This record gives sequence, C-alpha cells and structure tokens, in this order.
Amino acid sequence: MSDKPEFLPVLGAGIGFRPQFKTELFLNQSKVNFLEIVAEHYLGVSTEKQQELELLSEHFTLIPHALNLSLGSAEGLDLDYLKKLTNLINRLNSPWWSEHISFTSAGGIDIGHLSPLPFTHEAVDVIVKNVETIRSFTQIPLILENITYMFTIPGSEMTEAEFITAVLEKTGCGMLLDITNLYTNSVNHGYDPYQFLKEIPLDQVVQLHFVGGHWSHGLLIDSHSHPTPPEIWSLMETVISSGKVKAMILERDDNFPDFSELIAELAQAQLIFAKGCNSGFKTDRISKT
Amino acid sequence: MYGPYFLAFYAGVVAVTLIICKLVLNRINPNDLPTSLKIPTDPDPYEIVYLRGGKNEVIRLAIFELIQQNFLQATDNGLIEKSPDAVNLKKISSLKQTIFNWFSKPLSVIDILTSKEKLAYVENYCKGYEKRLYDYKLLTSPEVKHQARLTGLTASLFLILLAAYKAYAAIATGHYNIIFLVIMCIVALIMVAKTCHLSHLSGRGVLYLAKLKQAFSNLKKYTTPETAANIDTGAILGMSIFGFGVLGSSAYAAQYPLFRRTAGDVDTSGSYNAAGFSTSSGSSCSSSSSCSSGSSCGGGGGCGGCGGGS
Repeated sequence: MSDKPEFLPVLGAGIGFRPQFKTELFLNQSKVNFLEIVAEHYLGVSTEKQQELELLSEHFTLIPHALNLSLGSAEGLDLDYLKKLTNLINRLNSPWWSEHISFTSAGGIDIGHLSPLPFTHEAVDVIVKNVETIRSFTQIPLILENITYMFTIPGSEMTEAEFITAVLEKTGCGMLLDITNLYTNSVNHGYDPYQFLKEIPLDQVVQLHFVGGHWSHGLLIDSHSHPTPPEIWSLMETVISSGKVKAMILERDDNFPDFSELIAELAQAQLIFAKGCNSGFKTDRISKT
Repeated sequence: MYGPYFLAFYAGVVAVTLIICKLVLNRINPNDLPTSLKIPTDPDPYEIVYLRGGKNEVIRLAIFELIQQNFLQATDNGLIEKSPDAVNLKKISSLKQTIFNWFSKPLSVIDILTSKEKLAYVENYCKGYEKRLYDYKLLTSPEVKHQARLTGLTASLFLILLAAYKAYAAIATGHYNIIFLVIMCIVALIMVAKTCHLSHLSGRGVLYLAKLKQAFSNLKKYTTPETAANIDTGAILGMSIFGFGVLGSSAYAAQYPLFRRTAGDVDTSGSYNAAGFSTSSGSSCSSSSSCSSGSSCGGGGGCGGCGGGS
C-alpha cells in the first residue's frame, strides 16, 4: 500500500468512536462514513472489549489513532508496545493510522500527556528515526497529527509550520491536520491560522480533526467538548479546497449532546467536503468481507 | 471383559459418542454469521423479541408498550386492565389492538400466556417474523430439530444396547453387580439428551443476539419513564433485546413482577453458546493511554481524542 495521499481511499466524514454513543451510532450507521478508534483502548483488554472492536470492524472502516507511542522520544520507541500496537493495526487492515508529533515519555517516565517538542532539526531527526522503526513493524501508512501547546519550548530553530513541514517531508508521512488544535494555538499564541496553512504542505494532508473547545481564564482550551465553531468550519473549507483531504473526523470527547447534533455536524462537514471537491464526493467503499 | 475394565471402556465410548453428536450438531446448526447480516439501523423490536423468546415475549412486549402508552394499566393486585385514558386505538398495530381487547376484564400476563386461543393468534401474527428469521437461519428449523432428535435417539439406542449387552453377559455368568453400569448408562443418556437438545435460537441466532446486545448495550442504562405522548422507544428496543429482566434495574422496576417468566417460555439457552460471545454490558478502557483520565487534554497538548473510554 502506497504512503502517498493520492493513493489513499476517500472515506468522507466520520466520528471518533466513544462507547457513550455506541447504540446511537449503530442506529445511524448510514450517516457515519467511518470511525476513528483510540488504539490504546483495545490493547490488552477484556474479551468484551475485543468483541466490541470486532463488531465495529464488521460495520465500519476503522482508523486507529494512537496516543502513547511518543514519536518524539530521543531514547527510541517501546518496542513491546509498538509490536502490540502494530499487531492491532495490521489485524484491522486500515487504510492508514495516526499518531502525534509530540512525546509522551522521557527517561523512562510516562508523562501522561501529549507534550510539545522543541522545533529543532534534532527533534525532526528523532521523529524520522522512530518512524523508520515503525515501518519495520507495519507497512500501513502512518499520518502525523499536530498538537496544541501552551508555550514554545526554548531553543527552537524554526517555526511550528517549518517544523511540521520538515517532519512530513523527511518522514514521507501524510498529515492529520487537527484544525481545532491549529485554531487553538493561533488564538493562544496570536498568529494567523490562514498564514500557517500557507506554510505547510496542504497536499500532504490526508485527514482532518474538528470539534469545539471552551474558554478558560482567557485561554482557549482544546477540550473537545463543544460544537464546532464557525472559525473552524471556515478553516476546514480552506484546507479542503486546497488539498487532497481524504477524511474528516468529528472528535468529540466530552459533554456529549444528543447524537442527532453530532450527526448534524457530520452532515455539515460532508457538505463542505462535497463543495471543496467540486464533485459531490463519493466515498471509496472498502469491502467489509 | 472384566467389569471395571468394561466400565472404563463404556465411559470412553460415551465420550466418543458425545463428540460425534456434537460434530453432527455443529454441521446441521451453524454458528457463523454471514457478512450480509449486519446490525440493523432500524431494528424491529417485535422481530427481535420473537427471535429472543418467541410468541410469549411478543405478548409481554406488546402489553408493556400498551401500559406505557396508557391503553392498559396495572391494578393494585398485580393484574392488568384497560385504562380509562385509552384513546386513538386505531393508531396502534393490529396486534396491540387485539391484545388490548383481551382485557375486557382484569387479567394477569400469565392468564394470557396460558390461553391456547390467544397464543395461537399471536403465533399466526408472528409468521412473517418467523419466515424471515428462518431464512437467515437464526431460528432452529423443525427439520434441524428433527435431525438433532434423530441423532440423539441413535446415540441413545447405541449406548443402551451396549450397556444391555454387557448387563446380559454379566447376569448370564452369575454376576449381578451391574448397578454402576446402569447409573453410567442413565448419566450417559442424560448427557446425550442435553447435547442433542437444540433451543429456539440456532447457533447463528445465539451469536446474532449476542451482537445485538453488544451493539445496543447502552439501552440498559437509559431506560427512563416517559408519558404516553412520548414513549421511550429505547426501553422497548432494550427490552426486546435484553429481556424483561432489565425492568428490575430501571425506572420501570415496579412493573417487573407483571412480566415474570412462565414454564411455557421458550428455552433460549441452547446446548452451547456460539463463539462464547460475551453478553454482559459495559466496557473497559486500557489505562495505558496518555489521556487515561478520560477527559480531554485541554491546557496543552491536544490529545487527539483520548475519549471517555469507559
């Protein structure tokens, strides 16, 4: 399977799976093109949780989204963990999977949080090396997600946009552009998100994340707990019309509304996608047999 | 053959016979699901409840729904009667209209379930469901049940004849201590009967029902009382899938005694559980994720969907 975005299937608009709305999801299957699952939720779990995964995979295309590989860790990856993760990814035979441009552990200590990397050439090289390690375990394409950060690590040699561009170009990975994270950073750090979009390779963007956050003490928090605001819809339109986006995920984690509201957001995303593709997009059917 | 040695031999023969019976039943009663059989987006609660428990459960579900819709009401002494607020009878299905009319005087659910005439009506009404479920091989067909019975009878006859032969040989040579052989034979016949017993649900049906329970597990948590004008359809679908036992832990708990099981209810346990599929609700979440708190990673480092996986 080629890593290049143009060879990946079009999946359309989907939702991050959360058990809280499992029943409503099955009652509205036709309105959800695919699901993103948190990979760690299905590693070393009970039989019931494995059966849940089996049931989901029988009805939806699943895109695993990993949280804990710590691609930015200079000491390298946890190979036992990587093996379990890639076994899951290979078993699901997903068209791609995703992780974050961040680190979650250092010096053997699990930080428990997605932490920003310094925007340095050395950090780029660390990610490149870790991605090469991953490729020896799975050939399924990996796409990389941008995260939010409260402050820039001192000693940066480049801007965030330059850093992300360097990571994508040197790893050859596609991008999971989290529009919410981009918008959150632009608000909290005072820069123009549209200018940021001009500085990253939009043709490498495979998938989007979108959702709303909330304000707290003058800061915009990416809480994934509110409806998608107009600013993010607008950014999505720009990205979709410029790039070769294949999929969008509504990434609601908390404060769940009636499922019909989530379906409405998906429908809006699908409209934007159809308009951006100029052709009333048609999703590529991935056989579930 | 010396007595104890024969008993050991007989035990081996019983074991082999049971294995053969199991293999035969696995062949005639498949427990795989075709990929075309998915979780429905518009599940019919009455079809599902017929799958799960036959006509008795259809009656229970209809009566429950009539109570929720204020066509029927429970009396203080555990009976059910027509509600004085019953209106717009023509807006409900013909099945529910007929069941409503059965309550010309207060009755219990058991009174309905022990009436052959009433059961025959509902059985006839459910023919459409039955046909569809047979087409998908979710119910054990009469032909399969006949083959299972034949298998059981053949196995039983073989074991009886073998034991009878040994008993005759023992008695003919003056040995009358055949009690262990008799006990073994009886136990073997019971095991054959259990092995060859097929329930209302086929192996495929057991698996499909388990998957329905997995997909709709949240319905067990969200059963809430609603007025007749806004009936909680989640409760209806939930009960069709999980059975009336869920009433006991829900807002409808007071009504649970009205719908208790009877001897006439179909056996859905089956001689084996297809694929050992778990039917309990709830789920667990690996705690190894960076966002194991289950909340978003606001305040730095967008976690990209750690989710409340619980």
